[in-house]
Amino acid sequence: MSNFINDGGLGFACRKVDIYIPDAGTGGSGVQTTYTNKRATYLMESASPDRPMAVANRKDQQGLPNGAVGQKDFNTMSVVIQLPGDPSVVTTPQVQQVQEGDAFNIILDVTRGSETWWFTKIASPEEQNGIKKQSGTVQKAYSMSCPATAVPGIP
Amino acid sequence: MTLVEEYRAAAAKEQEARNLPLVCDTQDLCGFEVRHITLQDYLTFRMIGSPFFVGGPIQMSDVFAFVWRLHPGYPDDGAMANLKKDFEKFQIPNPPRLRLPLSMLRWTTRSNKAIDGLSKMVEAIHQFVADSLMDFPGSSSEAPRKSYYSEIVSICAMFGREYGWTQHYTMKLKLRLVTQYLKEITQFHGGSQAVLFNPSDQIISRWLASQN
Repeated sequence: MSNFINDGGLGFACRKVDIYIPDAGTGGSGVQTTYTNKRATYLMESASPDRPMAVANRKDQQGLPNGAVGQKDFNTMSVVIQLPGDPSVVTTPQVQQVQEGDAFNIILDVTRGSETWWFTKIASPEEQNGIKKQSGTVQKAYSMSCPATAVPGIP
Repeated sequence: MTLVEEYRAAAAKEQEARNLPLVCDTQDLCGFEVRHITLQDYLTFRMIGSPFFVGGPIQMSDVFAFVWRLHPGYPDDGAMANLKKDFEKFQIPNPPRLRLPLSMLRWTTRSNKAIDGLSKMVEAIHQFVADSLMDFPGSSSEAPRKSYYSEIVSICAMFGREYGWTQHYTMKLKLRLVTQYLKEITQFHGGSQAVLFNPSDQIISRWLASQN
C-alpha cells in the first residue's frame, strides 16, 4: 500500500517524510552507513525522480546504428522540502536543516515499493515569512536503508 | 476546521487574490475605490516612507496619501477635493460647547464611529498590501551580497530579458502580477528545484511543528 494519503487539500506530490541522520561511527572505509536516529519530519513538496539507463550503442561499418544494450544506471531525484518550524514561534529556533548524507525512505510507486534515498546535494534554506524550504538532490541507495516514514495522518 | 479544510480555504483565497488583478483594475476598500498597486506605486510608497510598506505608526495623513495615490482620479484637483470631503467622516468632530449629557452622548457616538471607520480602513489597507506582496520572492540564508543597483532595476532587467518588456511597461504593471511573473521565471529556470512560497505554507509549517 502506498503511504501517500492526500485528502484533496494538499498540492500534488506533497509527501510527509522522516529524514534520518547517518549513525556516528558508520560510513568509514568498508563500513556501510546505517541510519537509526530521525532528524525530523518534513514535507516534500516536489520530487522528480530520474531513472536513466546507461546505454552502449553499436554501429555498423558505415556508422549507422544497428543495435544497443542498456543497463540500469543510478537513480537520482530533485526534491524541495519544507522544513519544520512554527513561523509564529520566534523565541526558539525550531528549524532543522537537512544535511548532505541524510536519508529517507519512501514509496514513490507500488511497483517499485519502498526505496531509500540519500542526499548528495543540498542548498541553503530559503525563507519567506518564517516559512523555510530547501532544495536538493538525492540518490537511490542500493545497500543502505533507513526506517520507513509513518503513514501520514493529515488531520 | 480541520487542517485540510483550513489549507483549502487559504489556497482558494490566494488564488482569488492572484486572479483579481487580471480581471479588475480597481478594488473597493471600505467604500473607497483604489487601483491595484503598480511597481511604480510600490517604489513611491517606499520612498515616501509609507508606514504600510516600511512600518511605523499610522496617521490619518498616511491613510489619505495611500488612497489618494491609488485613486482612479489621481492627480486631478477635483478628485482630490471630493476625496477630502469623503475623508471627513474619519475626522473626530469638535466637542460641543455646551457639554450637556445628550449632546455629549451624540458627540461620543460620532467620534466612535469615525475611529471605528478609520481602523477598519487601516485594516483593509493592510490586507490589500499583504495580498499585493504575498508572492514576493523569499530570501536565501546564504551570505548576503552587497547591493550595487536598485531591486526595481533588477526586476526591469529580468522582465526585459525574459519577456522583452520595457522599463516603462514593467513599472506600470500591477505588483500582484509582477510578483507572480517573478515566480514564473524562477520556476521556468529552476525546474523541479525551484523554491517557491505561498502564504498558506504557514499552515503546513504549523502542522510540521506539531509532528516534530
